[in-house]
Amino acid sequence: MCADKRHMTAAFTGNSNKGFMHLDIQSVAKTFITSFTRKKIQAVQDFSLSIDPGEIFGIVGPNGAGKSTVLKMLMGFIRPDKGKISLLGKQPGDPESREHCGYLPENPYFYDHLSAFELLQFSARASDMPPHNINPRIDQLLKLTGLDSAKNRRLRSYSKGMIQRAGICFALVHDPNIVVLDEPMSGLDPLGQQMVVDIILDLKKRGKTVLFCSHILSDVERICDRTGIMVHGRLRKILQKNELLDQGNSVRIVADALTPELERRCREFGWSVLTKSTHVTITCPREHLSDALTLCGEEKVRIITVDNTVNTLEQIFLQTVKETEP
Amino acid sequence: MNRRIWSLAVITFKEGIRDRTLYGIGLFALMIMGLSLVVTGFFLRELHKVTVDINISAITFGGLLIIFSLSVNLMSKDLDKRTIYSVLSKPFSRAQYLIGKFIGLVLLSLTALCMLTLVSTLTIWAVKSQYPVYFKEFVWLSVFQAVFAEFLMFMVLNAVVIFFSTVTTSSFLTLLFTISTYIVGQTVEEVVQFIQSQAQEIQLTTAVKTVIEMTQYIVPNLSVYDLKIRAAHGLSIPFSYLLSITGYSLIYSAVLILLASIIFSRRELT
Repeated sequence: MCADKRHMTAAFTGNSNKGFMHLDIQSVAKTFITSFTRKKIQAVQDFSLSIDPGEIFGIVGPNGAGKSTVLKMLMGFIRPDKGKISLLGKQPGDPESREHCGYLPENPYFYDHLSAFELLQFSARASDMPPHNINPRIDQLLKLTGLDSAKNRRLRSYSKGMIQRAGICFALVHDPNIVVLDEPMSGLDPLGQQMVVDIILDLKKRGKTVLFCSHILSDVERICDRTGIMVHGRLRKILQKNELLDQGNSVRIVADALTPELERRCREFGWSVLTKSTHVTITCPREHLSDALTLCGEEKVRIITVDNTVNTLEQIFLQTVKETEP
Repeated sequence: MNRRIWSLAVITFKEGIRDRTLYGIGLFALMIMGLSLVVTGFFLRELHKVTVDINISAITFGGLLIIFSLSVNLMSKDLDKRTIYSVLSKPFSRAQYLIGKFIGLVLLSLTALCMLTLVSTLTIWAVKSQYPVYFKEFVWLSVFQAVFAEFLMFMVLNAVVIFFSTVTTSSFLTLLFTISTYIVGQTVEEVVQFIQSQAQEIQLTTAVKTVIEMTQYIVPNLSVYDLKIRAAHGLSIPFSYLLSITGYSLIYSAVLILLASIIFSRRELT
């Protein structure tokens, strides 16, 4: 993103953090029942999460993990079977809970015959923005997201990425204190993805709370204060940013096989082991590298490569998913 | 009016008014009206009745098509395409959402009706100028009163669309139930009157009688809005009658929207 757009990112949001807002989900569960077979599907189970003001929290998980269901419950679209949800101290069913909240749904779809400008005018008016602030704010956001030249075109002529950008503007136009984004990078080109990262980081700088789901782990790792890994409806792990940084001091050894003794010793040392059909990846702290290599030598395991860990979150994510497999 | 509700009504109206379906329906209605210019000459007497009848029927037909296609579509698309997620992420209650949509749909019907009425007025005026001798009993006020009654019917049917959109999960079912309501609503009064007048000859079970009684009160009586014949005969409609059908329409629509709000606030938007 160019420098002036970065500057605008910092400038478009107006209100400062007002203190009390936060987001609290306690022991929430949700089960869906299929229409014909009446089969129960446990979408979310015992999900608890509290997010502090000004925090960026990312949820990652495989498809069908229940991420979007959590966000829908948070927005009051569906009710949890049990548990409590509080958004800015209010229940999700209370419209006031959404007054200072911005939401981007997964694959947003808007009215075909409206222009982006009209759509954002609706968003601003529905959020009770002062009339004199509406148009300048819309212009600012459209410029920021690169939609200013297409602002009067009907949304039906927009590409998927442009709709996604319009959706981001829709969520942010009233400068909400809490921003909930479901797959904000979806359908965006690399420039668009970087734009979203910049917007989220700017929101944090301005004391806003951001909760989002994404499959782009490198971005989640880079921008989130905490990251939750969700698998089969449960929040399996919550990782602090510093934990991920500590993991960044790790090295990765890729070997061609894994003996039972090697696996036992790895577990003993607390090193992570990820087995694939063609190779095994052992991740250990940098200071344990020589021990790990010696161990591999003793077990006559061929080392394919040794490198610094990259995409630490990806490793943990894959490990977590693997651990939960039956 | 609540600014939030109004903003939703405005975008619903804009979305509807820019839909190409509307232009198609408008053109079709205009074609019927244009046809009346030609066809009326074939009749040898009561030309004014034929002209008024054709024109008001064209208005009704156009208005009904708008409700069955556009109104149903505007409601169901929000749910089918999940546009509702973005709308309800704003501080709307479910009831406010339905009221906003309802006002938008009524505005759409009203605008379409005004345009059709304008063209219809020009058509009637053209025929009247061509055959002034046949228009001695003709009264403009009766025509506009009949059109006003049509508008009230469209308002009730839009409330029916809103109601069935919240009850069903399919736009097809909403359409089916709305058309059924229209057909039953048009005939229910006649059926009840017929049964009452033939009570001695027709032996009905208590269950059937109860169903007919209940239908009479549940389904809107849409025959009260059909003032075409009175308008065609140049008979003016009493103000008190117009007032009573206006009150009936407002109350019926309000009850339907209230029921829809109760149902919709319990509905899960998965």
